[in-house]
Amino acid sequence: MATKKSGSLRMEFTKGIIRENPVLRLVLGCCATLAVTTAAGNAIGMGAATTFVLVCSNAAISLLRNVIPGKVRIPAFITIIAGFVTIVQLFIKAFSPALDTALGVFLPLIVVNCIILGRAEMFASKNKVLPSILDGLGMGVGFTAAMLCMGTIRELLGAGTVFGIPILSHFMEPVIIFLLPPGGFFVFGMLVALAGKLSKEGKAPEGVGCAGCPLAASCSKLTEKETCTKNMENWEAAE
Amino acid sequence: MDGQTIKTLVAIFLAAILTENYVLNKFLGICPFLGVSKKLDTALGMSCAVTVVMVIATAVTWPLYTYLLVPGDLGYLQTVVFILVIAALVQLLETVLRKFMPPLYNSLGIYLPLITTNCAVLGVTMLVLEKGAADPSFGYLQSLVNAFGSGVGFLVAMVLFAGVRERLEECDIPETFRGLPITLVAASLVAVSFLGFGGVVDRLL
Amino acid sequence: MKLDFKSVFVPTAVLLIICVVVSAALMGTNLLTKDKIAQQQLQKAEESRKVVLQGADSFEAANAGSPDEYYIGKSGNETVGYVFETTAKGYGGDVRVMTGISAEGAITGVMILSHGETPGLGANAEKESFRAQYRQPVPDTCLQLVKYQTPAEGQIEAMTGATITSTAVTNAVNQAVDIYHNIFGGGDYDGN
Repeated sequence: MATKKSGSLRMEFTKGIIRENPVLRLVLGCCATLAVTTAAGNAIGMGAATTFVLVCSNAAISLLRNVIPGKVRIPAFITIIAGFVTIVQLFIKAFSPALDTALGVFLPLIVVNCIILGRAEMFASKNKVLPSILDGLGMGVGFTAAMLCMGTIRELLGAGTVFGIPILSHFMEPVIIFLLPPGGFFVFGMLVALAGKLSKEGKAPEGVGCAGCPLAASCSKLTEKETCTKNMENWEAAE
Repeated sequence: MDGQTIKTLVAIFLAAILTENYVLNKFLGICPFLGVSKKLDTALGMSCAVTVVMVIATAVTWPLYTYLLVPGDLGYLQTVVFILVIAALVQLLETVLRKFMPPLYNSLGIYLPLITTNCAVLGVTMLVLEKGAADPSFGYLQSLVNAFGSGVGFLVAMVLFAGVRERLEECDIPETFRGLPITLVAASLVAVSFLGFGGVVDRLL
Repeated sequence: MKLDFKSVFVPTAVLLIICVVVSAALMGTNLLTKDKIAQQQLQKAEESRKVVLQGADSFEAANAGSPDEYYIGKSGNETVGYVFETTAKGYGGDVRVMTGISAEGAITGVMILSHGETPGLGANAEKESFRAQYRQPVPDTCLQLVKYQTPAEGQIEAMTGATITSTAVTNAVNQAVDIYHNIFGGGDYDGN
């Protein structure tokens, strides 16, 4: 990891927004992105919940990074993350049951959102608390922004409304398929292409090594260089 | 087991593959779907591992929830308990495979830790309980069949998609779309084809 | 695997401590929120019942636990009607419907509680324009579904492109009508 300079705290925050946007560039958290973006409102709700969990778990794991032994790293992280997810679940059930119904099973599934475990593993366990919090915040904002983009496009084209306000539905029949799974994949593909184009670095950021590998989040073999290289080959071959 | 129960179980199994496919209808298990479906043999291997974990996880978490968490008023611990059970199961599976079936372990080994964060696995354990809550006749056996069907559905989607991707290899794709974008567009087309199965299971039986 | 006491004990102990702390935090959060959550669920159910049976202020469960469970809607001490919850198989899974039937023997309202139908097609069953059709006197047998024609009394016009969903909702309402007939025997309620 390169040494951090003073201006780099801001960088920790902004990198999550486009250059290393977790959804569109690092390809993490896809399940939630595809499933919950049928309406812009749901996208924001999910994004906010995930950001909360991300920031809290990054902070907690960063605080405990020198205390948790390597062997039980993953189960420990999972327990902490699951704890925060349950807290968010309970609060949403209590104060916004409509959001709870809209997000359905994807609310508890935040616990397996690769972004959170990925950032815990890649960043929070190796950095101090403040940068970790900012990293979590940046990634969370990037995630929410990507979800909002997708949600708005899908809702607009698929139902003619945005946040429930009819906009296009006066002019044309909505194209329902955007609300269905095929539409989700399609819009996602278009956005990934767009993000790739906009991001000056082109392909996967932090290109080589475990840092860019999406399997890294669950890879218990991070220390085994040879297996990781094999993973990287699979990943790069997939690019 | 009477004819009606068997019919229902077959319906549950088929529905899990065709009309409620975890990848193409429910959007669960997308990360491995996009990441591992490049080659047919890895897709097959990964899907088999996922199916096994799905069934065992459901077999363990269903009674745990129904007979321990709910009566103990500990329903809110569902997320934590389930994910830890799954993580433990995967760890166990890894150890068992490494000891007793080394060749299998070597080909699947890399994907096993990945299964822990596979939304489809945690998803199936929770969704079968949701179904059971809405429909009292959907019990333990039905949940297991559903889990098995979901795993098979995952396998079907993966294998189909691996075939599509192998074809994509030979195509000349514009720079912007190379890699993930064109994969997603291909996935959307496969998803469209699955839409055609809507209503089939009820009509069939 | 080396059974070195320290290398096994320390990680296990740390993990255990984390589990305990997390569980404690969750128990605390649960205590904070569980009343509110229970209240929300009660409120939601009651609000739905009020929509399908307007004029009722309070509801009392009857035949609780059996498949014929229903709610008696009252305004003060007077029985206004009854609310039934039934399920039928739709296009994308089960469709749960709440039906309100007045004491005089007319269907007062129908509400879709949950469904997995296609947005823009079957999901339009939630719209008032479709559900309003169900507000008619309770049929002697069941409501019939018709297509491409103006429905007469005892009939419901299916939504175009969403026959399966329309059938599901109608089946669910007919199930409610069945329960009503079984309990109150016949179309006219003759007072209790």
